Amino acid sequence: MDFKNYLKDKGARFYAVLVTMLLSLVAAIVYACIYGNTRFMSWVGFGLMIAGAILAGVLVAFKLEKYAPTLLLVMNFVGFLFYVYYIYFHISVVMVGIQASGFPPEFFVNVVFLVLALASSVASIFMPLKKGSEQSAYASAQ
Amino acid sequence: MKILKKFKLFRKIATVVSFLLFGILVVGSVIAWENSNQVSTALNAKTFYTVDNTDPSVDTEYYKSDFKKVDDLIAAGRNKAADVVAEGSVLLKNENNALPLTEGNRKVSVFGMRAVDVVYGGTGSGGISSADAVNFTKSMEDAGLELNPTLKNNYSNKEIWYTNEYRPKSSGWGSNVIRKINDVPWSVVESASSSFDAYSDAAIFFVGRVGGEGSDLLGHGSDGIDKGDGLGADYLGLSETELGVLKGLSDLRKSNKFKRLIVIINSASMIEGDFLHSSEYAVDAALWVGTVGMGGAAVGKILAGDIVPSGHMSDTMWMDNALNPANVNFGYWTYEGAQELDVPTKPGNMWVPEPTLSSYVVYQEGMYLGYKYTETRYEDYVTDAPNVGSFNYKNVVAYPFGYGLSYTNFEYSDFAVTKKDARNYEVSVKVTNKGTVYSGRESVQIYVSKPYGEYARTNKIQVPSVELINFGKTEVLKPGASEVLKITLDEKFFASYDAYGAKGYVLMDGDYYVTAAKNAHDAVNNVLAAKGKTPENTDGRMDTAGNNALVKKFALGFDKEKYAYSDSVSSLDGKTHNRVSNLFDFADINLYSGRGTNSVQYFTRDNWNAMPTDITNGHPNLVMTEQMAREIYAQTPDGLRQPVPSQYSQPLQKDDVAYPTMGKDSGLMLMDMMYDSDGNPIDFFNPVWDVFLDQLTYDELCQIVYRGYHLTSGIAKITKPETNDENGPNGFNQSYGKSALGLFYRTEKAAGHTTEGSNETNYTEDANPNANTKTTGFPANGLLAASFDIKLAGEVGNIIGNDGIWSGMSGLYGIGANIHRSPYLGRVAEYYSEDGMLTGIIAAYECKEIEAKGVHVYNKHCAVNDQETCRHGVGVWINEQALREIYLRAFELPITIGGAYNTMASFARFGTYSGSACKELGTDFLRGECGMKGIIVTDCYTDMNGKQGSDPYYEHAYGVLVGGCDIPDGNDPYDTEKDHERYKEGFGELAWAVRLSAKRVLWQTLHSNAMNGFSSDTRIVQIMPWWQQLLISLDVIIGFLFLVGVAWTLAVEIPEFLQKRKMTA
Repeated sequence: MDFKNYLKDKGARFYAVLVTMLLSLVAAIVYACIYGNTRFMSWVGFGLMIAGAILAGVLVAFKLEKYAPTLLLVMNFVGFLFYVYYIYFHISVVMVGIQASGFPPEFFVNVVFLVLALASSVASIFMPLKKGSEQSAYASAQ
Repeated sequence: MKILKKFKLFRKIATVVSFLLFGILVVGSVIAWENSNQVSTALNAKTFYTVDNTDPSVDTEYYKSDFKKVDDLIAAGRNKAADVVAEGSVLLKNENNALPLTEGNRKVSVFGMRAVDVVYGGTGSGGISSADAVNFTKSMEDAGLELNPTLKNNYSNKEIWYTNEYRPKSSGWGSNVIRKINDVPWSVVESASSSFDAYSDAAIFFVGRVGGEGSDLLGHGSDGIDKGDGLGADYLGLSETELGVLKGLSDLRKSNKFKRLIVIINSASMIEGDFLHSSEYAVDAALWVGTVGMGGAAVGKILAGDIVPSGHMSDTMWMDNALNPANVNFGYWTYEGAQELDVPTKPGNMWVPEPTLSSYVVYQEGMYLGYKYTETRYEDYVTDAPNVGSFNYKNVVAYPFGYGLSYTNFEYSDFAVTKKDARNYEVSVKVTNKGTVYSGRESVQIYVSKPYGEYARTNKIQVPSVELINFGKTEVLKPGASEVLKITLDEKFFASYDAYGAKGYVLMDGDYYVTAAKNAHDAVNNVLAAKGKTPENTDGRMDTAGNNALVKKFALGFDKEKYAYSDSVSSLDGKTHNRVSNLFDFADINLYSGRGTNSVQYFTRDNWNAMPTDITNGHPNLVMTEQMAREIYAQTPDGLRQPVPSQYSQPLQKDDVAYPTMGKDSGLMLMDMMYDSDGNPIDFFNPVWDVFLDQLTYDELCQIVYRGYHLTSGIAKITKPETNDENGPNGFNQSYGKSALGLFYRTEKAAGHTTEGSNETNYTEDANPNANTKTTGFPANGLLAASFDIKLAGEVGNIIGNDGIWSGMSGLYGIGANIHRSPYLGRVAEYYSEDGMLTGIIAAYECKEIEAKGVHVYNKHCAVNDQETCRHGVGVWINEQALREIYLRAFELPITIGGAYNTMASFARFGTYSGSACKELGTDFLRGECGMKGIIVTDCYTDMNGKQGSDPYYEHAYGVLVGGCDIPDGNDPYDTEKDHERYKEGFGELAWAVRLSAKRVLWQTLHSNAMNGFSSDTRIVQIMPWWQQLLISLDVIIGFLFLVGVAWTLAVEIPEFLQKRKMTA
């Protein structure tokens, strides 16, 4: 494969997808490392994020990267919702303050990675698919 | 198609946004539904309305308030809180009559951050509102003291000293919480020294400590080194900063710059008292005020002499907490060999750091807790008993249990003990105010000294030198006035529990001494005097001569039958007095059938030298056995949140027991179960209850038994209202106008001051403005105990009961009847004392008056829940004598004397069985022996079922089946664990247990103030609360928009995709 030619006309969406895939993998791994041995771990959520990244890779490989952002968004968001569902009770305990006065740093680290992956998924949907030949979604709507 | 292709950006944004919103809404809805009770409560959303066709002439106020207006109740409550501070504060020291501050001596300088940052109560369930609380500054000014304005401004001004650097503060999580003592160092305080001269009548230094739910007070600078980081060397000792201030003030006191130096201790936990005996610090007077709740107004009055202190210590104040041997076994340890048996030993997680399946603590001190240790070892030291070891009482005890001074002096005389009947004795003692200036009250404590003879030694019965058995308190006595107190003693409490021999209560043969004393140390000196001991004939080992005239000696013969049966009728059958025998062998590691090679040497008078003193390594090491593991996992039969290792899998077994009749309507409402057609009360065992219960469907029974977060479930069909059961041990922390069941709401409704709406309670502008005012928050219960005043305890109970009626609360998650086993216990403010008898008696009279108002107490946490560290599932190993005579007595007396209806079970385990899973506790002891009529609720259920992230150690269905508890403090068994579905068929025995628990719930609701305003003609209509209607609407709307977006996208993308494929082909 002529890698230069392959990348020649790739728009920002292609690179955003790659970044999102990477972020999804990292976020999933961070999630598992922090919560893997606790009841706050949703392995379904973890699996969705990993699967999203892998399937997005498959789409890219088959030159169907146009659909990768949607796939990543769905998988990352549903994974995030599973995370929320599994951890909400503890958040409420902190808020109520029965036995706590704050969140530990790991909590924020995990949230930052999950939110970054999610934000990147959303952003990539609005990125242009190809360089020059296709306008950005914003431009095409004008 | 062209139209569809337009607005591409809008389509994308709309689809993505609606997708995100829909996802958030769906998850939010699921979470909200799972916690619908809590959400409705938080939003005050209406979940039912009543249709009332009651004849207006019928009185439906079954439990009447003593107050016609809520304003009167509020005022009375605040005053009663102040009474507790007035009666319970302990004057520890008062040299040269430093206190009170009389006219002309009231220009004072106040030091210490706690003067402005007052500790009002504990945290968590012991939390109270401080909105109406009186701070120390106002309290002193109201009492006529003139405060140094420079210091007052500096300490309270955020720009000057009230900064993060100097303020006490907490940070961190759970058992890792860090409590910083902080304070303004002397080098800074000194900068205001020019203001001292004009306010030199007294330097008043406030020190304070705060504790609460979720963490103990250990681990804060506990290496014994004060690093100047605000932690101090020990949280319960004075920090270097505090000592620096105290030293600075002492120097000024010694040079007469200040006329007196006074220390005020604002802490429920007893701090170390060494500094009060040190010549380095010239403290003239010291006053312990506990945490003051809404009663802080009394502190200034005590200082000014308007109130004469009469409190006596409810705990021992140690010189150094390291000398308290209970601390050797305070905390938790992990069983050896647990991992090899596949029982997790890993810490939980950041929220619940300790393991829940493999931790233990041994109450190795047994009977010798607090003063029962210090005074017993003192007596043995005085009498030169073998193996007594070295013991210097004055180096160990700063102030003994029961100690307290007054502004006047009281003399005891004419002491007599007479036998009233076959069981009771009457103590008579004349108390005379020998002072010439101040009127005051005096608490007289009665102690018994039992024989420690051959029988006790043979059967390993431990006999403390003296034990508090009852007490009395005089009225206010003017100077020169006398009062003869008559105090009844129940001989039952002369009996000791013989766990190893007779397996029951026994009166041992030998000499018994009864003495009236001003504190526990006086008591033992009196008894020693009666035994012929003097300081002279003991080579000075006896520190003070006792008063033989205050002792009555008599002999009793051995008797193991006289108190072999419970006084109370079993609530299991309503007629039997159960034989009292060993119930808790499985919690004594020396008797437990699965102990393997484990054994423990409990403290014994015969060998004080064997007592461990090493705080770090002195604890016994226990090895987990296979039987322990099997029993621990039996309590999580379904492994819902964590699979049970296969070798321990013990799911509930199906049976062929027929389910009870269900859903057979007979038209009976809950109110109909109050009286029969002749107007006679219907008792619990009346067969009509079966007819009534037959009406309920299986699902309705399950709703009652598997849901219970701060409530008992409402069932519209039988007009069973949803009750409000709220924290806590220091009073309801609720608003008067919160619930439609409350008298506040019903009064305002009758006056036309309410409006219909989606909230449960809506008030017009004409309504009483106290709808959002909080019920009274009382001081630390240790302060109430220190009053040694059962009348005051009853009055506090009366306010709490009235608060319940007005605010619509029919259940109190309290009182707190655990024991101050260690001063490091986080929740000291919620509990009463180190002594089970004092706890039990004060709590009993408080409960009696709470119950009289139709508020059912859930006394908590039954039992041995005496630490916060590893409270979830820690296995407590304890011998039955100590368990019954200290820890369970505190729960027994509120039931047998106070009629306490309900109990909250312990988080901790009795041996391997968690409190909620312990049939011997719930069924045999509380119901069988004590005759408890109501229900047992678990403590916070989600802390036990793994939802908090700790290893799950209890599932509710197991507890219900074995008779350990009735309802969870949570909704998971119904809402997420789906017990009602899992056990719908084939579990007849469980179904009958559920029905029995449901019956108890209904019974206790029927006999509570929740039925105020209800008659047989009242009906409940259950409705969907507004927030659920809103969420469903939003789900539908956003879901529809999302579907439109998806359809639109597909309509564009599919043709494009197909066309592209076609072109490619």
